[in-house]
Amino acid sequence: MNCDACGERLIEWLDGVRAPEVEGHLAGCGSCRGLFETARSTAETLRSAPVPEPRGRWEDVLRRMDRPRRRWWPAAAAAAAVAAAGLLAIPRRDEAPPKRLRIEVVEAGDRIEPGKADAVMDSLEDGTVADLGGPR
Amino acid sequence: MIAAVAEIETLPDDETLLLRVATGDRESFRTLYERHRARVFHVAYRVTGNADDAEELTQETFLTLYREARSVEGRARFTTWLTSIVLNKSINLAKQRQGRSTLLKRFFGRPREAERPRQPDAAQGLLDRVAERYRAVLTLRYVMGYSHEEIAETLDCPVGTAKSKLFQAHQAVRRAIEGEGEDE
Ligand SMILES: [Zn+2]
Repeated sequence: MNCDACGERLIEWLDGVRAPEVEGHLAGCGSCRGLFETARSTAETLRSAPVPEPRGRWEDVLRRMDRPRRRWWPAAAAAAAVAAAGLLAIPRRDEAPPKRLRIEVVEAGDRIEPGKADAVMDSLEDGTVADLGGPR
Repeated sequence: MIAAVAEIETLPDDETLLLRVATGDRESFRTLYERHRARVFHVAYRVTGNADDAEELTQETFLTLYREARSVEGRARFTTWLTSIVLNKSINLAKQRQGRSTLLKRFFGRPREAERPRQPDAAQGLLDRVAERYRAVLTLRYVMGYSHEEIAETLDCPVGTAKSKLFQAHQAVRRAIEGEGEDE
């Protein structure tokens, strides 16, 4: 049995299937043994992961059901347009970040509804940055 | 006591409730929400690694459920359908966060306060080391305890493909632990 064939048996091995040819290969192959042991330990760690309780309440969902969607959009679009001006001056990797961008994003931030900063960042990444060939 | 038992036994199943939700029945929607919100939250939490994001994604998932209740008739089982919604939303958000973090680091030199490393538990420490699609399949299998068939249904692929994705996820974890960097 080679390593590829052995790897193909990993999932059934994790499910408890023990085949002599797999055990034989594992006994003599440190690389496969490493993969199999890591996989078993990964499965154990994830199975015993603590389960955090959600805090969200039904009332929050209900409130959003009756709210028009994307109300934040004009503010986000405006902020993206302002920030785009700064992004045009994309610095070389070894240069300091441009101060102008920092200022403009902060200014745009003042006009953003509380809690909507993430939406602004979304609009930046989805459109502006991609169009300018900036980092993703 | 007997009355209580009878009441539990007559609670409608998910598919019946969904049909009622499709007609705009908010009480049925609420029952589905209370029944499944912990499961939805947990998937979102493990894929994004962030409890606040997971709360938001949980709400969005149920709003999507409410809006699309009418279009799901005859599709996959309710739980795998619901899981596929939250999984896709979580993967997308995790990718966005990754891109954002790169952007902010580049321009501001460091991540925002909220995005600095948290104190993840051992499970999250493992999941955070691999790409979102691997986190997703590992979460379904080991955190949620899904069968290979349920994973296949959630990911809308054949069972063989689901197993192969799980294998690749284990390889990615192994590579990350060996220090060869995350596969992307
Ligand atoms: Zn081998």
